[in-house]
Amino acid sequence: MGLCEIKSAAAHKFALTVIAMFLTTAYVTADVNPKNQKNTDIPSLVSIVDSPGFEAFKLTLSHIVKERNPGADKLQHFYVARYPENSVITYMFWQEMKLLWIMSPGGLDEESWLGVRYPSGGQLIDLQNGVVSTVDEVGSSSYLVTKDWAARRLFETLIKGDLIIVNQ
Amino acid sequence: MAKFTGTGNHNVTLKEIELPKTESKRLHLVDVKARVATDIKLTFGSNIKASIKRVPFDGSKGIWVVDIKGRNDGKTTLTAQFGNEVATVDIKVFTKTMIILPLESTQHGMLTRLFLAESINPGNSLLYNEKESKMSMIWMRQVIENRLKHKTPYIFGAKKPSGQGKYTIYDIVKAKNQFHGFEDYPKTFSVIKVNITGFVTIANDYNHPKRKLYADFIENAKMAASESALNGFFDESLKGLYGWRTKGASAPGGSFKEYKSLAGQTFYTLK
Repeated sequence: MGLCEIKSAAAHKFALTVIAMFLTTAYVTADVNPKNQKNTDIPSLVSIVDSPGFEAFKLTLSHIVKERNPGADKLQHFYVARYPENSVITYMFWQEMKLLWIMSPGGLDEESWLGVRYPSGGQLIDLQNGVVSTVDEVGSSSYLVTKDWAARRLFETLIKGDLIIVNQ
Repeated sequence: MAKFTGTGNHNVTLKEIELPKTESKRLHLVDVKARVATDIKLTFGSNIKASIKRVPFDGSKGIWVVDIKGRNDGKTTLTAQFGNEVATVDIKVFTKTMIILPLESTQHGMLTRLFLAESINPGNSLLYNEKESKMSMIWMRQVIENRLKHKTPYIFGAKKPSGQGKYTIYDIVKAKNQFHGFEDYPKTFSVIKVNITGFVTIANDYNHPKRKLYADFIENAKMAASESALNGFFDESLKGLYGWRTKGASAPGGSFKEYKSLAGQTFYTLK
């Protein structure tokens, strides 16, 4: 079992800005919309780091690295978006593999995180091959996503989320 | 009070155990302050073998090691007695069934893998519901059949090899950009292969707490992939089911119209 460190995503913001800049444009544009600024009903968000099942989650990340990037010889960076307390869905970005999860947080035991370890085809998005420019290009696909959608998820994970570093 | 527990957690009393024939399991007998192992009397049926280690696991806490092995199918009760202290656990011995997938070279094998790869699996504790998952696989099968029967399957990315008269299920499943990792089937994308291998491993691991859930998940996918999967099923969407997206993902394009959400997926019909 490797070492897992937790740091604020903000600490890595600068290094990752180059990656995020291209994809976050659309979200930043939407975020300054006056209509959004007036919304006071935004629910408070919780961090995966405060989840009672965080230790089991870290073990799951170690398994993910072993199974999907065997022999990884450098630190692996996972960013998890904050989510409304009762939400069954949040998002996770694995920087080294450029993979994005639509994930459901688990509980105290490792088995409850198996859905993150083994996501369905639509829950795991390959940002190098699964992102297209327009909704028309998504068409009838069960897994492609638009650039705007991916940009919002990257903003929530990379910029506003929590970073978990896995050292195998 | 004397009790049987697992070897990891001495606070949870084991009431019943399922033990595959010919396999062994180690238990702990807890809170039995015997001086020597021979003072503890074990009784059990002929379908298991049980023995207590001579040296205690932790003498001061009265924890002893008991090994059991399944011999024949059937039920029995293992009893450990020391004076007035009695601990019991019910044991069911059964013949292990290997869960395997249909050959990947067959249509049944391809569809089974597709439904396993695309469905929300039992590892998603907050999203998974076995009954709904089973039905969502049937809906997925209906989507495949509807795309095949559509007058222009090419709008779903399907391509017929030159010289082939009609579209086949293979053309639908392997259509460009439709189902994650299936374009080059049977050369399945490695991300998907990791998942499917994981499901089968868990389904065959009789010590895994979610073994049965995964075994049933695989059986449901096999059933939805079978020839008779849609017998008795009626597609209630007005224009038929034509696609699905994972809940939380972006919307589809084309002429899709949302129909219903089921088992962590949103299903679509046509406008």
